[in-house]
Amino acid sequence: MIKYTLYISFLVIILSMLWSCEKDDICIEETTPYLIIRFYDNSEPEEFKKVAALKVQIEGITGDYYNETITLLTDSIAIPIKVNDDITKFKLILNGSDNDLDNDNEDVFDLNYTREDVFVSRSCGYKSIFHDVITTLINDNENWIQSIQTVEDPQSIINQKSAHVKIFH
Amino acid sequence: MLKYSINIIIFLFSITLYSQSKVIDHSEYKDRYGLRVGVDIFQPIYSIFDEDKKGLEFVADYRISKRFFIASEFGYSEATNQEDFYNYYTNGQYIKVGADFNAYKNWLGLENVIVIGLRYAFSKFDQTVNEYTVNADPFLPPQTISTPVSYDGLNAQWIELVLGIKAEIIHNVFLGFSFRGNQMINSKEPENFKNLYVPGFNRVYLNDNGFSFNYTISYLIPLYRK
Repeated sequence: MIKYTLYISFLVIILSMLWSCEKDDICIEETTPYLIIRFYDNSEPEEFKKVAALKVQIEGITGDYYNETITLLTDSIAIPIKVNDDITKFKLILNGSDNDLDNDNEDVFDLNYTREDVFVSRSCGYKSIFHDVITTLINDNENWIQSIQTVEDPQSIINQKSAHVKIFH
Repeated sequence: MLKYSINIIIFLFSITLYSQSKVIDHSEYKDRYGLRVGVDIFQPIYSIFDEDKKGLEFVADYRISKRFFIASEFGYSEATNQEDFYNYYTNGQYIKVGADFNAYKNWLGLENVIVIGLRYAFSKFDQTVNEYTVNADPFLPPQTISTPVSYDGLNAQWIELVLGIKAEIIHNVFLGFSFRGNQMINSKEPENFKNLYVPGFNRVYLNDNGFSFNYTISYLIPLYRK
């Protein structure tokens, strides 16, 4: 009797050691959402229009934001938003990722927003979500972007299920 | 940790075997009934090695029949836990009340216990998120908030299944080890945080369960014989 019970309690202790790596040790939930932009045709506002050799930079940050979908011919991109500031200035450079420097056309737009930090889970910690998102295109006489607008009004960026900003070109 | 547990088990084996060598010759033997009080010695020792964890637990059981005991544990605990993107501090008190069944048939005059028990437990505690860094794309500069946020007046209730051993090492003095599987019934959760650690329950796993254990030394105050 005592033997069996000891074996059982021993087994339970061993099992409890194995529990120590659990599913909630790995962050699988969605954390801070990316800004999702879809590109539309300016002459046919319902139609998507791809952008050639796009390059994305964020003002104040050295280097290009690299994401395999951006450098290809693409009609949608997902780019990170600053979580330590209420404004992010994006530089979208048309033909910026090809070898020809002469055809580059840099357009800048501002994204203004308010931030809210939300607890996700043990392993993911906190994420930021964004409210009252406003986009402003900076005019430079040679804009390849005709206009920019948020999908909804007012626009919040809470998840990545659908696009947040439309760019017409 | 694993090595530690094995040592404890081996140690307890030897205690049990030792205790069995006592022989009492009584043709009509009456069992002793009484109150057993003790203290958990694991937590005070553990906090020497890990400054982030402190706690003290008292245990008591009272024999009500040949094989049943009313049992209780109560104590306090404070812990700072570090996760990938934040760290938080939990402190509070807890009480556990329930019954133990002795699954071991003792030889005459011996009072060792193999515990199979059940507890209802309640804890009242506060949580403080000391610091967190927003989980975001590392391409952009990180945002770290170092202003602590406190969540006071939280509580939790849970059920514990207890498996354990108590062996009399010297007259009236018992050494015990128990392992507990915990299942949360309900808890008052903070807003914009979670009860990830609860005093007495320890780490709260994804599906609201957890486990804990104690290693106790206790003294039996004999009250009467029956």
